Amino acid sequence: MDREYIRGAGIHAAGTIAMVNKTGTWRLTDPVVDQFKCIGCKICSQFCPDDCIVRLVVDKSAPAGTPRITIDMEYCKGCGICAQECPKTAIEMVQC
Amino acid sequence: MKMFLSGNQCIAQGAKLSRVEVVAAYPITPATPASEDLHEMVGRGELDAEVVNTESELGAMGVCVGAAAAGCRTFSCTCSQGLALMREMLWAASGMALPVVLAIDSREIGIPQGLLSDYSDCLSERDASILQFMCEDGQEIIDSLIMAYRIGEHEKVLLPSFVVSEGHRVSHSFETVDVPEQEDVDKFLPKYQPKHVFVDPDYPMSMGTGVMPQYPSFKMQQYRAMQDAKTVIKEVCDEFADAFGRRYGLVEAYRTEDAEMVMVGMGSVVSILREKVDEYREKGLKVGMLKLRVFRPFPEEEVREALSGAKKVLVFDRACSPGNEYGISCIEIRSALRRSQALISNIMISGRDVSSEDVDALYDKWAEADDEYVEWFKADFDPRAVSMCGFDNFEKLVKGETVERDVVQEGEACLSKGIMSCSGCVSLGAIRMVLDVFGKKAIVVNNAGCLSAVGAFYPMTGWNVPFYFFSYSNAGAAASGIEVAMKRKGIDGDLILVAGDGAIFDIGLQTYSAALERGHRIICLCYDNEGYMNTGVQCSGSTPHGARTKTTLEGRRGRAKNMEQIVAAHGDVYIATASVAYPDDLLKKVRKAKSFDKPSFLHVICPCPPGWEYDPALGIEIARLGVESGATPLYEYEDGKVTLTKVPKVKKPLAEYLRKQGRFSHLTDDDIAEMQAEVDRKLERLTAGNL
Repeated sequence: MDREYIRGAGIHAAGTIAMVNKTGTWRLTDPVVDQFKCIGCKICSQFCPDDCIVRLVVDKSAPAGTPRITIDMEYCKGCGICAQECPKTAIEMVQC
Repeated sequence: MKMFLSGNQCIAQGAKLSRVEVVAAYPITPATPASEDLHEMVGRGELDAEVVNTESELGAMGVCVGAAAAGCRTFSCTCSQGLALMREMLWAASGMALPVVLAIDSREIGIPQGLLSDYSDCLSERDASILQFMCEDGQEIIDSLIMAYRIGEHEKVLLPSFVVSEGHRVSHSFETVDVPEQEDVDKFLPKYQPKHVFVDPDYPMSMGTGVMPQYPSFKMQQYRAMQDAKTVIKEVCDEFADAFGRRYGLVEAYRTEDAEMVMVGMGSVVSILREKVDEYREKGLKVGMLKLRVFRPFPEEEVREALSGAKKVLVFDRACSPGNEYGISCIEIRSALRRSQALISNIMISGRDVSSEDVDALYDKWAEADDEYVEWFKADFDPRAVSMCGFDNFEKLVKGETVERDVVQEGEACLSKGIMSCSGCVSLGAIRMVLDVFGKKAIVVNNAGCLSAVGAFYPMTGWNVPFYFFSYSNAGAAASGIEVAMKRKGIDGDLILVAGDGAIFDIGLQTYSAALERGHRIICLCYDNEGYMNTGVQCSGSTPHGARTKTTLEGRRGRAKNMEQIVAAHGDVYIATASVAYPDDLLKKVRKAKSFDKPSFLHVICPCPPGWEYDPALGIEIARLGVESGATPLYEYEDGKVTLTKVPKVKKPLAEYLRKQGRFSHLTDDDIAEMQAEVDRKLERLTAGNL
């Protein structure tokens, strides 16, 4: 079926806000991950309100210090919830 | 006394100086700071008034009408959607001859949700027999408020008033104003002692009754009161000038005596027009300006007189009347000048700011034109609206490239990154968590609140799933409509009503209740941050006892509504409370709700960093403490029975939860002990299986 913008202030697009609002610019403190301490549990990524933490698929036999998470600094607002909730204190908030 | 005040602060000063007795207001941007100021004034003992926090604007106007019918001087402030929601009670106020005064921070009426100021809100009430004073600046707001009570309470008038200023443009601009002394105001505006409305068991009176053929007679009385108001306004303005040295009238005719071309405007645009008139006059151009200070009653005679010599008139309109060629004030001007030969042109400025250069450009065209015309100012169709159609790559679109629109993939987040919520907003986290259970099948309906402000803003949207915002009060009904239509059209999806606590507990309760009663399959996610946080932290029906907000400065008295009990009273509804700190428990409940073919109510408590006053990093910890202390217990309610889903092994003291939040910092240990006892009682009740 044809979809077309005619009138009515509807935004005929999806997810475009991410292309413009780089909320990472708001950050006052940066999350810094100690990859040696990080065990790759899902806690930080689950609690990040801005969907900025991705767990990487890492083989169990990977050497110590292999990154297990990445933080999307383009959008991270630096709230510090991840650092607060990390059971291994693997994330530190550093003044930026 | 000279003070440096914002427009909203002027509103509060004007109401205070008028010694209002009852204030009722509901949070709405940009008018909220005015009522917050009044709360503070009452708190400091500067104003002896009852301030009522209501559940909606309709409720606010209802309280004002009730209090005015009982003989009190009453006040409210609102704008836009709020004024639209008040509508029925506005007509009640004028019909009952109640001189309620409303300060209106004019704002564009949705949809789309405008934030700037046009006059579509107040001028839509043109025919409600309400006096309308259109203020240019803060000084005029204070003076007009004081005069509005004098005029409205005059026995020949007895009508409600709007004191209109422009939202954001004036309400949030600071300027030096001369605030009259209270004793001078008291002399000018005596205590309100109405003869026609009162509560008196010895002299019972029935108000608001039905009438049959007499309706036109009553309407004619309002019509005459409006006509008489013109004389009263002039008298009161003269008295005001004698008392305070500032002269106002129905209109301000500025250098119109010999003017061949006259610009006409209302509100703040007049300031720039006045300056431009001086500039044009220096160049020898015969230009003048007419400010319409009073829109209702419309000063026909004064307008006719001021424009008697004009060959060309240009009316600046902040509101249009679709279906009529002209803007609303231009319609009135044309009516007043119906026998004049003047060429009357009209420029629709709507909510736009008008600069000096803009006026020059408008003037040049107007001066050259040899006929009348109507034009919209800077309102060309936004090409982005068209180019967004069918595409979703903003950056490429801005460059003018064409992109095939991608279909949102399975497993993609319902809400994109880049959402403009505060740092550490766990409400956003909760919404993401819940919606992602539904994925592409989610269809989201949203009441006004933080989410509607941060999730999408034209021409950008954060939504990867269908998203609908209708209004604050009506999401329950509108969601019902979508559910019915989805069934009819065979659309497979899960309808989720995402609403804050204000939206469900207060303003939207009526339509949500009806939706529950009808049994639509709507999964309601109530993200509860225990207050009106989007408008800057005011008390809602969910604000807990003792919590400080800007409208409960000494801590909330009374109790939060037990929403679960209310929802349960509707019959077969799946009810669950959840917390962002316990995602597994939350997701289990969401999946359960998804599996049911009946309404569900998911109540998720979400700490709010600015509203609860804590370090944003502590959001999850505070939410967890809420559960561990029993302040926000997690449970399900099915088949008439409560089942606690998370019982802390060791219950933490409530103080640990409360002391982490600034909003409870004023509480004494005794206060907390009392609250602890209440929490214990509630837990006992829940443990026994009762809501």
